[in-house]
Amino acid sequence: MNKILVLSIFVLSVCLFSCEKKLDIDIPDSEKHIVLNGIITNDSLIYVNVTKSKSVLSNEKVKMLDDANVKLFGNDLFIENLTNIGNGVFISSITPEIGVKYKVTADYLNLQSVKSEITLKNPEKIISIDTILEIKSYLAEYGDDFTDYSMKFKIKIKDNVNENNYYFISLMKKEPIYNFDQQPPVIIGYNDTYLYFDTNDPSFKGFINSYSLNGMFGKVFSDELFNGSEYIININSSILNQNSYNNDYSSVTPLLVVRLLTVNQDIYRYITSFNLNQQSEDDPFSQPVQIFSNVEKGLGLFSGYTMDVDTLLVEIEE
Amino acid sequence: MLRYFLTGIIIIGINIISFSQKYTISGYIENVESGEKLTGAAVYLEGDASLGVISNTYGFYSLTINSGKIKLTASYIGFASQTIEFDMTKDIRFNFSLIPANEIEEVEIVGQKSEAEKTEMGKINVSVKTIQKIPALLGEVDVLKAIQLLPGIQSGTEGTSGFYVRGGGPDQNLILIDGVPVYNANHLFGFFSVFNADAISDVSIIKGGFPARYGGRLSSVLDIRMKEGNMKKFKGSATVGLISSKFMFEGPIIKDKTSFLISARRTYIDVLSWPIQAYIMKRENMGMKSKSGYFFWDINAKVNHKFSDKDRIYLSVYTGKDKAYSNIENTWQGSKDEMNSKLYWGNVTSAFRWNRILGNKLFANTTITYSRYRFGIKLQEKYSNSDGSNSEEYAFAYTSGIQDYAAKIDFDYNPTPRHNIKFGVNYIYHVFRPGVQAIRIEESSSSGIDTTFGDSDIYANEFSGFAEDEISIFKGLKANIGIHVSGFYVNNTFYKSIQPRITARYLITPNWSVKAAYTQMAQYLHLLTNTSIGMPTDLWLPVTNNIKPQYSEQYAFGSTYSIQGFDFSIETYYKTMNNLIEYKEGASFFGGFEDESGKKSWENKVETDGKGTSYGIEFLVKKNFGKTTGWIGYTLSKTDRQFSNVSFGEPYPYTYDRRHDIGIVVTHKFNKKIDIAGTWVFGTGNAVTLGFENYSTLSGYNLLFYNENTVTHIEKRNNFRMPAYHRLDLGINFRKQKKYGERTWTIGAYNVYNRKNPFFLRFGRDEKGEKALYQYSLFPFIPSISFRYDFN
Repeated sequence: MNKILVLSIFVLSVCLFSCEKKLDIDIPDSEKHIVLNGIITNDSLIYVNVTKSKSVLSNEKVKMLDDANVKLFGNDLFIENLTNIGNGVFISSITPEIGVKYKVTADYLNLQSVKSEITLKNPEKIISIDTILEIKSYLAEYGDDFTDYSMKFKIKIKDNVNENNYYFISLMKKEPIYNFDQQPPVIIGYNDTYLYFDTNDPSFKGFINSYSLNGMFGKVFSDELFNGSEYIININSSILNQNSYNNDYSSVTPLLVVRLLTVNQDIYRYITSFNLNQQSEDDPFSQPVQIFSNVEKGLGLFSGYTMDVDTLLVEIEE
Repeated sequence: MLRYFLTGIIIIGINIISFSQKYTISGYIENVESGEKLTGAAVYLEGDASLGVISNTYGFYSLTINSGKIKLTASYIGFASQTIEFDMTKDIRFNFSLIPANEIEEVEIVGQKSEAEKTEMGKINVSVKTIQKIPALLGEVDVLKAIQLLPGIQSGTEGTSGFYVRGGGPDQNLILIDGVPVYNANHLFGFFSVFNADAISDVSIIKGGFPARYGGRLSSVLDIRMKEGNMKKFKGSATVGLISSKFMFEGPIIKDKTSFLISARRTYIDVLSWPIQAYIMKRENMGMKSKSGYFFWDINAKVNHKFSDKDRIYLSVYTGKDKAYSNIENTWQGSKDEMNSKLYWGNVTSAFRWNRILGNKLFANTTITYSRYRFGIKLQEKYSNSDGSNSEEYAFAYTSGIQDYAAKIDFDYNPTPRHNIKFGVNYIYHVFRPGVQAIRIEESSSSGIDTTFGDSDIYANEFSGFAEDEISIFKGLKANIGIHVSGFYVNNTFYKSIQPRITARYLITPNWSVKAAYTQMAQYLHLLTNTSIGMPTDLWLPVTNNIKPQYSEQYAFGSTYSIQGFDFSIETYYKTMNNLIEYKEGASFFGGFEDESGKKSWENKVETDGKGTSYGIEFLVKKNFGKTTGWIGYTLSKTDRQFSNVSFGEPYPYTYDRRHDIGIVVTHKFNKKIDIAGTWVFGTGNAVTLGFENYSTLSGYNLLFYNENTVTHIEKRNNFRMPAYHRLDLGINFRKQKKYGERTWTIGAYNVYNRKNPFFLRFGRDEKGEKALYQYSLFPFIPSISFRYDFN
């Protein structure tokens, strides 16, 4: 409230005096970067997206560089030219292996050639998942009563002692979908929902915003505070929201799926800077944030992950 | 380095002790008209200008010389020199009374000590008379804006009083009024400064070559001294301007013993708008009463009393306040709703000073000071229905600020003409209030809430001590060697610092000298701000366990040449700064970053490992006498910052990195009735962060789907320069002698050629929907007029 008042007065005073002028400035040659984006993993083919950056003043769509020459190297040896499948996407014929340094290069007409590389590491393991249920009931003033099944997750992981590790953790709940035409109802599938979660865990260093990495929502953290040891990550999430008038779901037992992605520092820096950039975008008092790129002479991110998955049936007993 | 300084000081001590007995002449140098003491006046032996001293801050001088007949000259800028013959057969007490130059206009001023002879480096004095002539925004004379016209000192944002010295931040300037720090020197978000020029006698700024007596900030010391009050006769002035009116009144309470000065100023836009607001309310028949507005006021007052030639006391007070307010009363069918809100901030400073001459060679100054800056918000809403059966009251308050209680004692000791020694100690008890909020809710239907929360007050102790000696090493070579020691104790953490200082001057000819300086500085306070204007919410905070003191080192080299009333000077400097703080990327004035425990804290919003480098060269040509006076200053400089977590650890230009900075000030007196003044400023545009390329992000879902999510590529922090800033201001004074004094009409024009100077840049869309970069400017051509009457 106080800050809003201060800002209002300031804005008012500025408006009283200020005048606007369209500025005729020479914007530096802005269409000069090849943008290379791709996240690889050891159980699928390599996909990369090659586009061209555009002027910030341009209203046109991003140009997909389907005619680019995109090469894949493994441990510095040429493997193949990646195949374009449209929309600027190029695909490999091989699946990447752990421990091999993969390098992708891209050339397009007069633009500067770009390159980037990634070596996939062995995935670090989830040792255990424990939960504590907290039930909070809210008596709504108008409308339905509301019960929040808040849950604390304690996820124990083992960190590699020899190196700095970076992780991406994602929580999903799989809820059964019933066919109520049959009695008793039968499960005909699962509804997958990524869980938004909060954490005060210091290893997240206050980077609390979620990010969607290859379709998985989650957060990044580093092993800076627990390098080489077992560590329990503390996470809070609302596992199940339920309308108290509808008791049909009271017996639902969702399946919790925890994915622990072993990523590298490049992804960590990209996600943390990207989130800060988005967070500060509409705040005129905030310092703009640069987004990290690991593409030499270009923009974007070419990186990868390996993953460990664990599941837990969450029993909700009131 | 420290060892050499200590050795030097010991050698100085031995020199002093071994010096043979001489006679001492001592006293004050004062303005004959008012009895005001003159700071920095030169007293020297005729025939040997190297045997001389400079009067201290309180106008005291002491010179010990051989017996025999001597001719002693006292000179001060803007005054006629005075030469007296003495037969030195004993210690003598003599007060020089100098005549202001305007009383002897056609007389050539001779004997003035040239700038070249002064040992000090990086120090500029600006006369208050010049400041008062400089044309100003809306005719409001402003000390800080006059300072911005000097080389090495840059303005920040258009129209504001904040200043940046040799690449330092605004928090690195020690602003003193009568020796008391002022923490927020801004009225109206920085568009005006808190200093009323009518109450000021001396303004000096030090940019480098800091003498050991100063400490606590890295980049500059702005030393503003209030007038003491006329000991001889009553005088005063009254000024009516477009936005404010002010008066100053001074005179003797007991002639030649006790004097006073009081000045006050208030803006009145709010008062003028009240009838308009009332008319609108009445016309709209809204059943509502509303009164809102903004104003600021300030008062300076000083009393000084001379017990004897040896003892004198002073009490000076400054207080000022800004207030924005809104009071709305709404009556409907017997029920009443009142909403009152106010936003206020202001300083109070006060100093009690006791000057005592201990013998002929030792001068003691004991000072007790108090300084407070407070910012607050109050919001209150009251509701009551017609029969009084139901009433509600909601109140919110927020306060933040800083308070200092300080005591210091310092001495001037002049054992021989070749030594001018100063030493002293200082203690400050700081109370920081990072922000306390209070909420009160009273309802007739419930028990209500009355609670206070927020960061708790922080208490800190700051100590310092210094010793310096201005030594004539041999003919032509003079040096000021000193050491400043300081410590800061907060939350069971103690920081200390030993800062050697040295400035040396070699006189090649009587008018030409070369100078060099080396200084180290430490700063235990940080200003938490991320706006480029002087917001009242800017928060002064101490060092903590995590946030270390700022340190700087500065090397400077220069030369000064004086000829026929012109002073030419050139100075180069190289400055490094460590432990600077900066908001984290993405952090903002709004909201906070949480620490591990989930608590939002200011410490989590800042990067703490900043380094800064600044170097440049400054040219200044100054003319102090004659019908045409003024200066031309030019600075070529570069300054950058580097933080591990900002801009990926790469150095980037400081926002106020200004490659070229020019300030020209000219005043010309046509005759006794008309004088004009003009200023022209030019500065390379401020560095801002803008992105010029958009590019695809990693797709949120799958690369196989078309992805139009784009982000803007920012090459690095502060990668773009705003257009250059330049502006011409003109003013003309029409003076006329009246029965009781002099009246002056001042007509001024700010931004004469209506330059649209950049305030900030923003991408937007034009009427056709095309994206474009827009520049916002603040002040177009603004004329002003004011009336002033000086009572004699």
